[in-house]
Amino acid sequence: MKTVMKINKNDNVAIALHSIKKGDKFKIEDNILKVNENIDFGHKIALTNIAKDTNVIKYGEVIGYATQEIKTGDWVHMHNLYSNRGHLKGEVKNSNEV
Amino acid sequence: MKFKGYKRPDGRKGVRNIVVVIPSVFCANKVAEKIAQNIEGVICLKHGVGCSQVGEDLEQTARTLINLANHPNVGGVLIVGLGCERFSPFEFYSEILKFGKPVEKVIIQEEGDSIQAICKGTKLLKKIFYKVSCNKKEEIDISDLIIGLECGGTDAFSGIAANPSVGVASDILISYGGSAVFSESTELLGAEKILMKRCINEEVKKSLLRVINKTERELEISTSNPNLQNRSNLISTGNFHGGISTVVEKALGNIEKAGKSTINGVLEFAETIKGRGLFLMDTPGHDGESTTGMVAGGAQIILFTTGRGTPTGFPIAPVIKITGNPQTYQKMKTNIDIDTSDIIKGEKSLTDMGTEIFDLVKKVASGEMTKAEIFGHDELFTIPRILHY
Repeated sequence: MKTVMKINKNDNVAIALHSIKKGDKFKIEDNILKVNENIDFGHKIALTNIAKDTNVIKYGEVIGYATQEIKTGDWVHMHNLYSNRGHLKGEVKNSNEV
Repeated sequence: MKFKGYKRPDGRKGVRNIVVVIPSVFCANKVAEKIAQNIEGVICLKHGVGCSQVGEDLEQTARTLINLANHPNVGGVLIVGLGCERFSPFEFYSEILKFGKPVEKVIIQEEGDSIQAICKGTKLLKKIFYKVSCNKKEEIDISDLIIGLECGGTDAFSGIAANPSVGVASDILISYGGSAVFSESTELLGAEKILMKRCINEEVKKSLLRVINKTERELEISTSNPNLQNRSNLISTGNFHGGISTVVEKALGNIEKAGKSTINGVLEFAETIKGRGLFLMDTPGHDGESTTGMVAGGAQIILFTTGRGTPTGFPIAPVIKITGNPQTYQKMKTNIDIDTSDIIKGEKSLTDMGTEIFDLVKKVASGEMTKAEIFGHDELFTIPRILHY
């Protein structure tokens, strides 16, 4: 069984298919990536560096933007990813941005 | 391809032959429940609406109750009214009468009190039950099936295993001339670009965009109260633990359930599904409310994917539970019918799993019971309100 699944070729995150520990390494598309923190199964891991305010891509679509700098191998979740959809722009975003 | 089901007088086909007792207003719930308990196997559809409602809110309640009573899985109906409610039990009765199936009514205020209404109602119910028991199963073409596509307790595996497998099953049914309906407008935000490309014409495209824009505006208002920011999250605790971070990520996984078929129409909540193929129904994201809308629309079977694991069922339509999460399946084997996690293990393809789901749909259509049915799970029956005051 693979460690992660990248759904679309344009994605910059992949899904952990089982729980991964900090420091673990896995191969994806001929690259070896090192995991920077524990990641639960089903959760997302960054496949590239993602600059603050740039898009996070899964299913080949924008699912939100990085609210802080994300490094390759980081866990990507609500602490560093946000979508404005369903929220009035300029309203309280997430704890990192208040 | 055929299944064994029931032909109804209005031409629609049922996969079950259920007798229901339906209150026209919540005030009649207990009387309705006690009448139903007097005859084995009768289902009571208790609800919380039917009075002090106005405009589109009352219309939606009326449409939902009438369409559930007329549902092809229902063989006969007893209506229990109070007598002074806004959704008239007489209107309810005459609407059901038009469809030709056995229907009777009992009005509490006409009978005198609860006990007298229960006595009268039980006598009427016995008559209905006998008539419905005489209905025989017949061979029915699979193209008469409508499946409702639902998800609840979504996690990251819903979007990559369970939902796309359901999408394959839905596409197979549609390829045989059958129909499918998906819903949950709050869970389409961000998926509109993909969905619009699949609409059959400009009119359907416009309706879809109107539904998504309306839903997003309502959500924006609901999430913007500065005093309620701790109540404004669009991702539930279970979604969070399951690895879902944004409403768009959830939407992109959600629409996988609808396969790759063309979207032929956009329906109102509980609107009767006419025509064949794939439809979108404008419903809330609450899985009970959206399931209620789709069943009222005519769906005879629900395919319900769950990542975190929910045991729920619907009182008049079999609910097939499907997960993509191997841990959830191990914990909830007695609740979940199909485990699609072999996809993430690389052991099965989406086509394999979709075919397996379709095969179970055929068996359930002919009478095989789902796990939710065996336990009598009925939590998903919930009628939403439309309130502007």
